[in-house]
Amino acid sequence: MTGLELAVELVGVRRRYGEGAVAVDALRGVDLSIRSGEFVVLLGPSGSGKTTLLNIVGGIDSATDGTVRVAGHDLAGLDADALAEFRRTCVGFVFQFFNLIPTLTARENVALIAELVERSDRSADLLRAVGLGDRLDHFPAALSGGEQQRVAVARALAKEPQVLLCDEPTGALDLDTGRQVLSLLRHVNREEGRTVIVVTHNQVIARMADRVVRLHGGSISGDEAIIDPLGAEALEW
Amino acid sequence: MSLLARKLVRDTRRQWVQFAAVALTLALGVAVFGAAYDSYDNLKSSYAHIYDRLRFADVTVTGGDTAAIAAGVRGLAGGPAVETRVQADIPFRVRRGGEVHTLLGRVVGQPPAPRVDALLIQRGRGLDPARPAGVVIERHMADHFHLAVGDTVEVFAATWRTLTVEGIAVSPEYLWPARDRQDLLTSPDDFGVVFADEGLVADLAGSSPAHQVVVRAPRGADVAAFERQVHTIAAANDAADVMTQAEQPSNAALQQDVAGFGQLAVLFPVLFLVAAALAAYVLLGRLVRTQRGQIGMLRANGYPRRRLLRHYLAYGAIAGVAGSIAGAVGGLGLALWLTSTYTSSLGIPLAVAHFHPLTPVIGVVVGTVAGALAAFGPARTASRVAPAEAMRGVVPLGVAHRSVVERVPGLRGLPVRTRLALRNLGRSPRRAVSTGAGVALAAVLVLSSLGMLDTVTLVMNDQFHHIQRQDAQLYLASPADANLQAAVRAVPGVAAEEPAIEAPVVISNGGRRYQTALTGFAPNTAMHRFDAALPDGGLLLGDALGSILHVGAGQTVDVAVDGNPPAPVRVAGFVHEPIGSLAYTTIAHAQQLAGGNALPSLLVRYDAHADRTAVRTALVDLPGVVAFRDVRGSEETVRQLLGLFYAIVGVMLLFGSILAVVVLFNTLSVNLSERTVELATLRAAGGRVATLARMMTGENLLLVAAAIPAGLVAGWLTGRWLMSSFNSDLYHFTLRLRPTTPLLLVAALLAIALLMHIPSRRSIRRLDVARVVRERAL
Repeated sequence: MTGLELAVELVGVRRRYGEGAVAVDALRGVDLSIRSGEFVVLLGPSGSGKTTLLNIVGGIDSATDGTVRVAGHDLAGLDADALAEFRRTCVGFVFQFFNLIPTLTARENVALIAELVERSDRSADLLRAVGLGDRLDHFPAALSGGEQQRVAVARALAKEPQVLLCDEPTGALDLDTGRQVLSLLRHVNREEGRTVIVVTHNQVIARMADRVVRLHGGSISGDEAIIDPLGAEALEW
Repeated sequence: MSLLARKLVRDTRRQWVQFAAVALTLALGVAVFGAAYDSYDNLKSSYAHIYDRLRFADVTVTGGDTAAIAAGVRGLAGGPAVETRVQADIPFRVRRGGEVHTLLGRVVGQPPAPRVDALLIQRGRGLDPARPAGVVIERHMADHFHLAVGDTVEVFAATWRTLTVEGIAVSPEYLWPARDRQDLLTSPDDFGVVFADEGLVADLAGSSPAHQVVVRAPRGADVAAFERQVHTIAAANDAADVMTQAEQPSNAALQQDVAGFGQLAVLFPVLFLVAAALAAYVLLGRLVRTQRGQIGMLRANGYPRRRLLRHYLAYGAIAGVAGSIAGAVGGLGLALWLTSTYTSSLGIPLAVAHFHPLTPVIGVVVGTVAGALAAFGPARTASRVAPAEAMRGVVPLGVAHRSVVERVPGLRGLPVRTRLALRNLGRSPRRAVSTGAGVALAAVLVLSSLGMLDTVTLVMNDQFHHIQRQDAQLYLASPADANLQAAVRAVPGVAAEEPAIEAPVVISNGGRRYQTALTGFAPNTAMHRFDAALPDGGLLLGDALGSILHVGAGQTVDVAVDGNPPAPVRVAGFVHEPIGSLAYTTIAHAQQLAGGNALPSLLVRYDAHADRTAVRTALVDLPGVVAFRDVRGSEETVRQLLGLFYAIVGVMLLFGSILAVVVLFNTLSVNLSERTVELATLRAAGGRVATLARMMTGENLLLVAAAIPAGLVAGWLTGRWLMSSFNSDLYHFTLRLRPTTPLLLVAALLAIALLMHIPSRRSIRRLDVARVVRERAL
């Protein structure tokens, strides 16, 4: 990746849920470009459309109108199978509530994704990379929240995605473990060159991004580059 | 409507398919209960009604001083109804179109208005002293040979004599046209009954009539005590046999059938209700888990445990009430259908079909209680939820661990998807056990039904192909001579022939007596399979007689043929044969015991591709042949009579399959809804719908496969119990399965689990991935 290519390009993206009197416009014509290797935070209050935007970029939701191009794929018009193929190869998700499978160990949770997308199993290496080398065979119930989220990050990385999409990754974590996870995401971004998009309502987290995109009422209300982002360990909330 | 009641209605509506599946299972159980129980009751009532109307004999005494016996019985308290009569088994000839049918029929003497064993005239008229040569034909014979009033029947009494049909009637003694207890499965081709004036029967019977006294107990009498009194009088007057109504061949056969309904009325509903309860338990367990947050909120707001318990019990009761009302209504209809199908297939007139209000009430109560009981466990769990814990919204996980299979060396490197499927079996052990039990119950229902079919089919095959090896039996006017044997062998299509004789006998040991048929075969007979050589001078007995007569091999019994004094004979051994409890010896010994009462015959085996009709026509035309019995015809008759049995078992098979589908469908639904977040996460990660659906299907297959061995064992034991309950001196059934039957069952259950792949795939495809992964909304 050169850092000049566009990882994400949205033009006039709209998303409407429901019809008639109960219709809700979650996104109202969003134009956004994100370069490969950027660490972008989508910031906004509840209902601002940030998660909808993330889901559309990730191919788990579709725009009602507009152009969505991610990692070179034009997502508009792709059917469910093609979108699944896109998710398999291009993007990785990290969710607020980890969503680990309780009957699989940490290593197996990661390996399962590798199996599903038919990639070689690097689960042990990935877990060591996220600092869980000594917790490989622990089941989720035996891991702390931060550890579970780190497993979730490793799981997302198992596919070697170009774009990592994180929805409130620290929302269920305390400060210390939240910092650990953010630090890990920064590491993935800096050392591996992956594009990372983090959705949060926590303004503090925005200070560690390369760029902060603010959403309000389904539209972009601000887009600012951070010249000197902080390290995750310096964040306080 | 209270808000909780509204919640109940909406929750039920939201998962209506799963609730409908539970209700359907309960409905099937209640319907089977209602249908089987009411049919059982209707059939019992129908028989009781017709027996009462036609004054069916409570006791039939054969032989001895019948005048003295009749006088003695008439003197008993209450003034019992008594008739004396004569009957005889003699050859009949019926001409139908250009064909002549020869059979060994029965003529029964009858007064014009008998006080016992009256006839129900269906066409024509009854016996009339003014027309002494006129006869009344029993309905089965008339139907089989298409005989109408005014037609003729020939009977053999030294010469062939022609009798005119005056009427066609139903007799309580021949509702099931059985020749005797040892010959219950008689083909109408081989046996028919003609009622005639006493004098005519005495004339036709010649030297070997059976003199009988038929007796009906006074109304309201203690029938068992009355039977004992008649028995005492009969014994004192040298009667050869005393037969109670329960032992009467037609009644015994019908009562055995009715008893089968009684068993179905208990066993199958229980299976369905248990399965429905298991399905409801799985469904409601899941409901409670997903509503832990709501329950916690209600508890935190001071909602009493009891109200919560009642609330969740109501979910089970709703499915129970809906299912059992539908089942009760369906059961009423099914009972009417079964009763009318059964009675019309057997040609039983005066069928009684009552409305039994208690049956649907019991069905609804039991169905509702089953639903509520199934809900009790989840409801109690709900009422015991600690508010603080529940409000966190996290369902406490059991301790996750590796499956047993993975601990086997060499299987540790299984794909993660396979490991996931294996571990999910133990993820919710109660649910896995409930589902496994449901599958096992379906297997029990299907295997026991198939087992009954297999057993009957294999037993028929054994009886009519391996034990009885003849294709036909020719009854002769006099013992076979070399000329007749040569003439039989010369008929194209005849492969072998062999003489045999038959005689009705009473075998006794001390105070125990049993009426049966004695057959004498050639010492090295090729027409009947015996495991040991036929004893010369001894008897081989059907093995039920060992316990009936309390006799063992090497001991002596008394053998009496009507008109001859009892002779002591050694029991050489026992034979295990599925139908009847007969006695066998050599032809010479049988002749010695029976004297002039022996009925001579020739057993004939055909070539494999013989034209059976042509062979029969040629054989009955031979001089000296007075009656013909087609063994294959008997087999065919049995198969036709079993038509209703096959229909009932077919319904059970259908219900069993529905049960399997319902149980698996509910488990799958619960599995899917419980793992919505996981599946959505995997979908978000790019997991293909087909791959994820295969994972779920793999789990179902594993669950079904794990339950199958238990189902097979339980099904086999149930089938064995069911078959053994038919055992008596008339039938000896041991459960037998074709090797393919369990394999087919296993394949069918696995196929159902595989079929569940379709809804599974559809549900996974329809997952709202974005919403689920974000909100953890289930």
